[in-house]
Amino acid sequence: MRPVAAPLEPRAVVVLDTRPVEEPPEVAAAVTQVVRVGFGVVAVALDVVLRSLEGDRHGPGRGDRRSPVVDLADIVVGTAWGAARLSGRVALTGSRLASPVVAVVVRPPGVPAQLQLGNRLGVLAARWRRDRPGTVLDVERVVSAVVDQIDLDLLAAQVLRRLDTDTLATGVLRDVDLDRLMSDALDQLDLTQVVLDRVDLGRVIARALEQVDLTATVMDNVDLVQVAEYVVTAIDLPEIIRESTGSVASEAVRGLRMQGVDADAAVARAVDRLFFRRANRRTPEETLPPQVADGPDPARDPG
Amino acid sequence: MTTVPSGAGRARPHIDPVPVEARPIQGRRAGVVTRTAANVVDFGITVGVLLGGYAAWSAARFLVEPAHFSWPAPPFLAILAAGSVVMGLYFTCAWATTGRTYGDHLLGLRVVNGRGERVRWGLAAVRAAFCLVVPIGLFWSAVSRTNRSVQDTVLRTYVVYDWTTRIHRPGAVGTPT
Repeated sequence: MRPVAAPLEPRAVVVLDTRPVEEPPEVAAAVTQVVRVGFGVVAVALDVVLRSLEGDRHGPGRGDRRSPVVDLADIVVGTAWGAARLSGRVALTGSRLASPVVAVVVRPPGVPAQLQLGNRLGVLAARWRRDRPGTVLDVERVVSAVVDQIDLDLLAAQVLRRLDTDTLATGVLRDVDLDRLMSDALDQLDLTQVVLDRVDLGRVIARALEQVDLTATVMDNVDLVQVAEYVVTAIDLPEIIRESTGSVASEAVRGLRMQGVDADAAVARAVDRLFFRRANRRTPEETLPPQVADGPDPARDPG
Repeated sequence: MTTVPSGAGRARPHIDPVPVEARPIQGRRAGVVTRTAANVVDFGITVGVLLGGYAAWSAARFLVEPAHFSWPAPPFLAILAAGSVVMGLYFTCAWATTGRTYGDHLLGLRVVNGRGERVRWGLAAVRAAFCLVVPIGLFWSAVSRTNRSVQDTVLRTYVVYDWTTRIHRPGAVGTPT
């Protein structure tokens, strides 16, 4: 990144120009690249044409013999490729030899800088660099307009129809790290929340239970004896049985006790009425040791 | 095979064996009717014990002198003394061990001290003697606003409804219900 000084103001700050610096390419390398691209285009075009011809020739029962047209095309293109390589070397050598002369011609000594051809060319190049982003934007606008006019859905459908999706899927499965892809995707998702929001868990569980023999699963996987021992221990079942059978199991005993309780209450009400008492008796539970330990207030307790 | 988690540190659930209709009265002081009924049962037991002793004594006499056997005729005071001893021991042992005589058990009662615990041997013996000397003191529980007899008032004991079989030892933290 290249630091660029902001205009000098009292509160000026230095901002960093994040635009990449584009170095002008070497002329020889650029020419070489252009030539290679040109040959690449020719090769692709020839490949398309020759493949169509080969498709016609390799029809049913025609065998796999190489077409002479292909050989002829390879000879022509190979000759042109060799000539281009030779021309490139000659041009490279010539440019190296001519570069001092060109330098003198472009920037002749004794000529004012404003009148030097090199400087004029530099100005033109700088102007082009300045205007180039605008032209790129124009291209993007044109491309966008063209794309807007195209039915991308139809285009995609046609592309997909012509694609060998099996091969494509195989290639994707071979080249893509699906584990890492899924892991990254899951890292960005709150999967639990997604499931809670979008899955009918009751229905899922109901369907799962329909397909699973839960009883058999429990019988096979759970130590029921251990569970039973745990429950019996947790609720102290022996103590419950002992209490139930030892004290309150008999209906006769239970009835006798309840009748005794009712009789106690009846007698207490009768006595209280006899002594014109209005307040209920104070018979608190003896489960409150602090109050019971000291006993009720003697002043209010005639007993 | 799934294992059952350890129950360590988990509170044990309490399942109350007492019928629902009787739960509200558990731990409350009993009235005169149930206490009298329990004492009647205990009195019957005492009479039964005396009759058993009398039968054993008679059988022993018959075995020793069958030719001159006659039914023993103990004086009333001896019967009264024997009955008092039997009943006193019975009350003392019952109250000091389980907190209840058989009559108390039948009527769902328990004798506890002021802290709601089982009474100690000494207090049980004193209470048993008090009950034998002043049995009429029981009926003060009908008059008392706190359902306490004379013995309970003096000795600071209580007779409560307790349908469970748990024994509440002296000094132990707990409730009688």
